[in-house]
Formats: sequence, C-alpha cells, structure tokens
Amino acid sequence: MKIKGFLEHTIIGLLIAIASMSMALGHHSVAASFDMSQEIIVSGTVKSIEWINPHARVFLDVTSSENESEVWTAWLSGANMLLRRGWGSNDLPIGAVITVDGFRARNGSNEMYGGKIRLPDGRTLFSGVSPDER
Amino acid sequence: MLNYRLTRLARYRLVGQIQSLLANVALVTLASMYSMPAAYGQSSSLGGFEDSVCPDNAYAVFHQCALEAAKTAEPPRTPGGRPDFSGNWLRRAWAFEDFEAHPKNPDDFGGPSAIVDPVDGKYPLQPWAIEINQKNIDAYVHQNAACFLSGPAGTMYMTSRFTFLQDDQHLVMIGEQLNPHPSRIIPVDGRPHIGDISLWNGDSRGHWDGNTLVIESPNHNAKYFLDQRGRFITDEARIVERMTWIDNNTIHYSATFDDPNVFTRPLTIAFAFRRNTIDEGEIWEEACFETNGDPMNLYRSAGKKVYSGMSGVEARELKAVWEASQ
Repeated sequence: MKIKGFLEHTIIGLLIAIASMSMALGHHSVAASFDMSQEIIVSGTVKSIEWINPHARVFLDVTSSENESEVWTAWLSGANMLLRRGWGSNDLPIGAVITVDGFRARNGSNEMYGGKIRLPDGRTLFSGVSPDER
Repeated sequence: MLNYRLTRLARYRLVGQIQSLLANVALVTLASMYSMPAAYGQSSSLGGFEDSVCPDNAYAVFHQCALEAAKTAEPPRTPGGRPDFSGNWLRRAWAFEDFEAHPKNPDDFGGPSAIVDPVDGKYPLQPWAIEINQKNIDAYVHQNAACFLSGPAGTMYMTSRFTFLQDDQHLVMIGEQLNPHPSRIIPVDGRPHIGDISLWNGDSRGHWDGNTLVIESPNHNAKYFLDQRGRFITDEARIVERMTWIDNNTIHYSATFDDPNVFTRPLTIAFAFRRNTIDEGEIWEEACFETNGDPMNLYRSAGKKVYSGMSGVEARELKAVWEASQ
C-alpha cells in the first residue's frame, strides 16, 4: 500500500509539475546539474533563506514519506531577478509551510532548482526571468 | 527510493476524473514544450515590440527589416555628430541557449536560429570540430555558471538589461544580470588596440561606418562557449560587432565570427536591443560569486568541468590528428 500510495502521489505530482513548469528557469543551463526529467514537488517548513545573487536559496525542513526529517535546498533565481518579479525576502518567513515545484539535483542530494513556490496564503511566486525581460 | 515528502496537492487522493484531466493537461503541455513549430520564422518566446519600425524580434525577420530601415534612420547625435545610443536597453535574444533553432523546454526559452548568415541558420562547423563540439557538451559547464565572462559578443546576448553611456571618445555598456560584471568600455576615438594581451572580452575598439558603430575585438582568450551547446571558437577568431540605431526604441545589433580554424565560412548572428520601457532601467549590483562554490560542487558532482578554451594552434593540431584518422 505504501508503494502504491507513493507511486500514485508521484504520478499526480509529476503531472502537476509538468503542466506548470513550461518555462525556462536560468541563465546558464540548469540541466547541467539538475535533472530536468525529475520534476518534483516538495513541501516543507522554511528553515532559513539566503536572499542573494546570483542565486537565492531556501532551506526547508521536510518530513519524508518514511517519516524522517530532512533538509532540502531549493535554488532560485538571484535576488535582483526575484525582486523584479515581485518577491521580497519577507515573502518567505521562517516557519512558513511552502510548496516548491522544480527539478532535482543530478547527484541525488536533497537539492532542487525551484521554478515556482506556493505560499500558505495562496500566492504563487515564480523564479526565472521575468516575462517582461525576455 | 525517493524519500521526499510530496506536496499537499499530491497527497490528496484525487478522483479518477481529475487524474484524467491532469494527464490530458500534461500531455498537451508536453506536446507544446517539446515540439518545434513547423516554420521558425516567428518565435513566441522572442515576441515583439510594437513601438518600433521593426517590431518582430524573430532574428532573421528583424535583421532584414533593420537593414532596410537603417537607410532612412535619423538618429540622435552626440555633440561630435555621431549616432547616440545612450539609454536603458533590453536585448531580445536567446542565442546563449543555442545559436541554432531550438525548442522551448524547461531549460530553454527556445526560438528560431539567431544565425542570419548563412541563411540556412546552421552553424558552419568543420567536420573535425563536430566531435569536439559534442565532447564540450558532455564534459563542460557553460562559463557563465562559473561566473566567467562570455566574450565580447557573448556579453551582449547573455545579459538582459544594459545602460549605454556615450560621448565622442567612448561607448560604455553597463550590464546587470546573467553575467558577472559585464561592463564594456569601447573607445571610439581611433586609438589603436592595446595589442599584446589576452582578455575575456577582447581588446575592443570601435569605429564608425556611416551611422553604424563597428567594434573589433582581437586578443580575446576564447575560454568561453558561444552558446550552451558547447559551440566554440579559437583565440584567433575575428569578431566584428555592428550596432545601428533604427528608431528611438530599437538598435540593430549583429556579430560576425570568422574563424577558419573551426568554421567552413564566417557566421553572423543578429538581434534587437529594445528601449527598456518596463521599469526605470536602473542597473543594480549582481555579484556573481557569493555561494557560487556550492553550485560548482553540483556541476562537479555531475561530472562537469569548466571549459579551458582552445587556441588556434591547438585547433590545427586536433584537426591534423582528425584528418590523419580519416
């Protein structure tokens, strides 16, 4: 049952991710270090953030499907780009539960390149180049 | 087994109808992401700019329009009477992804070929260099990921937003994101090249050909790819950029790469710079180095190295080895 549930959730998660990730994310090839075929969705509690260039990072406390505590790192665009897309560092307060859509690191570590973050209040924050600047 | 916790949405046990709907949405999205348009004359990802005599950003379309429009353009002038490019600009090009036509996917915005000459839009690589090109893709990460510069022309299509400042001695191009410190100071007063030096962005000097600023940049180190597909030149390549004011919102930019070591013939890319009308155009600091050691570890763990470049001498040696093996 556990495997069935996992697969079911994975498939649904991937479908949602694929439907929403039709955008390029980075200035260099993200695919060099993140597997663009491993579109994943991770939910967790904001542990800390680094709001800097060239890439901001969000660190998440995550409870795995095996009920183990993990820390995940979500790489984002740089702080300049995020600010121009309407983000502020206060949008990701410590302790907030967020959901990140993105691509998993090729080395299998708990790192991902985040393309979209859903906040508890329903807002969605996008990473990557602003459509206006493309 | 992957042991991350899936999203709240994913945890819901959705009914079969919703799963089916999602599957259909995903399939349609996949089809649009990975299928190339029948013709590359237009690119939705490049878009257009309405307030221009040449509104279409699709490279070849824009290039032809701009060549014609330049004949009657009346640019603003510097005190010395030269066309004045000053202002805040956005480049419209995805050439850094791939010089040739390529599809939109999660890693690329996609679009038609940025190569306007040859007109087939194909990269005119000599046969011996095709294998090197593939090795580059497999072995190296694009220089931008390591916070390195991208060469004189690469700087112009890597960086999205620029401020151009100009007097009768210089054109100063200050870029912001997508490249570390991508500022260029181009003397345009006839002074000679620096000479015996090797620089990432070359030893640039500009001169005027009518209303067109022509920038030549010898003495570049060629330690960069031209795009994220591992396309390369040698340090003996001649790089000639041309900038022409088209209208108040439009600059026609082209770059010609001539490298007999690598190419069967010179190639030219062309694209538009558009007046930045989306915001105040202010350029902010974007230091590339902070925490960049961590992504470099990711690249290394994926088996990637930073490209070290190729000299003309090395290219000729590799070519001789390849020819002897044929």
